[in-house]
Amino acid sequence: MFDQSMSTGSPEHDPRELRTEDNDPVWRLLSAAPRPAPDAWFTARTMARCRQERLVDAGMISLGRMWRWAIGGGLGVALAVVVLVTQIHSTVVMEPNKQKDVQDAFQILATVDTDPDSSSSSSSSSTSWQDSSL
Amino acid sequence: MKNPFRHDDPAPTGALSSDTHDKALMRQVAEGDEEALRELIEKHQGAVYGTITKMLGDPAEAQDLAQQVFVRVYRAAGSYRASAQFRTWMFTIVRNLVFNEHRRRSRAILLPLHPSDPDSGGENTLPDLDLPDLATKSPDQHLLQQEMLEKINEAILALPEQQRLAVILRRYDEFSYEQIAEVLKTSVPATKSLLFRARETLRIALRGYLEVKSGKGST
Repeated sequence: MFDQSMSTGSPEHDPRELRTEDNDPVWRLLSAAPRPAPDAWFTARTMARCRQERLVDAGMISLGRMWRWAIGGGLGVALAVVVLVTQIHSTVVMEPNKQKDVQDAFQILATVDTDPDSSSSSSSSSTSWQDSSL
Repeated sequence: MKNPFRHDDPAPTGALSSDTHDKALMRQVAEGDEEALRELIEKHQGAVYGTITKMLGDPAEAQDLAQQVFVRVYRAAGSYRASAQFRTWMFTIVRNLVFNEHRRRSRAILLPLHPSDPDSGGENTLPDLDLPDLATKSPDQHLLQQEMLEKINEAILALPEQQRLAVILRRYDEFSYEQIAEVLKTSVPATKSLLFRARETLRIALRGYLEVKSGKGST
């Protein structure tokens, strides 16, 4: 005897093969030991387990996001430190040059002050020179 | 006529419409519909649990593995592509889990629960783990039926795993040769050969019961 689905002529079921097997006493004997059925709580337990898996997955995803933020933040801090150090280093390097300019200015000033003929005009100009240089 | 094995699954309206419905449910599960997942589990739990129990012979282990099957189905809902039949795809997961469990068991070292009897003369005797049923008293006919049931299950369990799964899928789940070949990742002729060899092995193992049945049924 065939199930409804078998008699529809579906390509998935070969009636000739099923008839042969159904005539096999071994095949018929297997009907004495049918498949056991799950208990009534199987669905509920399985649903609970699926929900638990979903929570675990969500936890893993948020952990992954935390790691990304941590790595990104760390890189950002490292970059900021590098920029700061570079700026400090370049400031230190510029200081001697500035000092040298000041020294040159004072030397020029000294040579201008020693000339008696140009003292009145030089004083005003030196004052203005001092103001502009400093 | 309704299949006597399918005592928990709903009557199918047709293989193709059932598969279409399964695929629709999977799409809903991918969108987070819990009711669709529940319906999917209730529809297929009998086949999945029953097949795994027949394969392993251990109901407790079968329950755990059956749950794992549905968890995997749930996790794969988002990436599921309806290229093959849903039932075939799901039983591929069943196959993988059951075969992995077989390999794990074969690697495990089995220790007896009871120490060997010192009076047995040094022979290794298997411990008798069968507990007597003190709750009910069965008539002889029921006992004979139970014995036959156990012998059939033992004969199925004694088959190689490929043959065993092929027999279960063919006899109890009514898979076609093509579907079985897809689950077992083999060809249709190889599947037919597996089933033929399995039937011959079962015929030898259960010949006592076959002779009794043929004696009763002779006309």
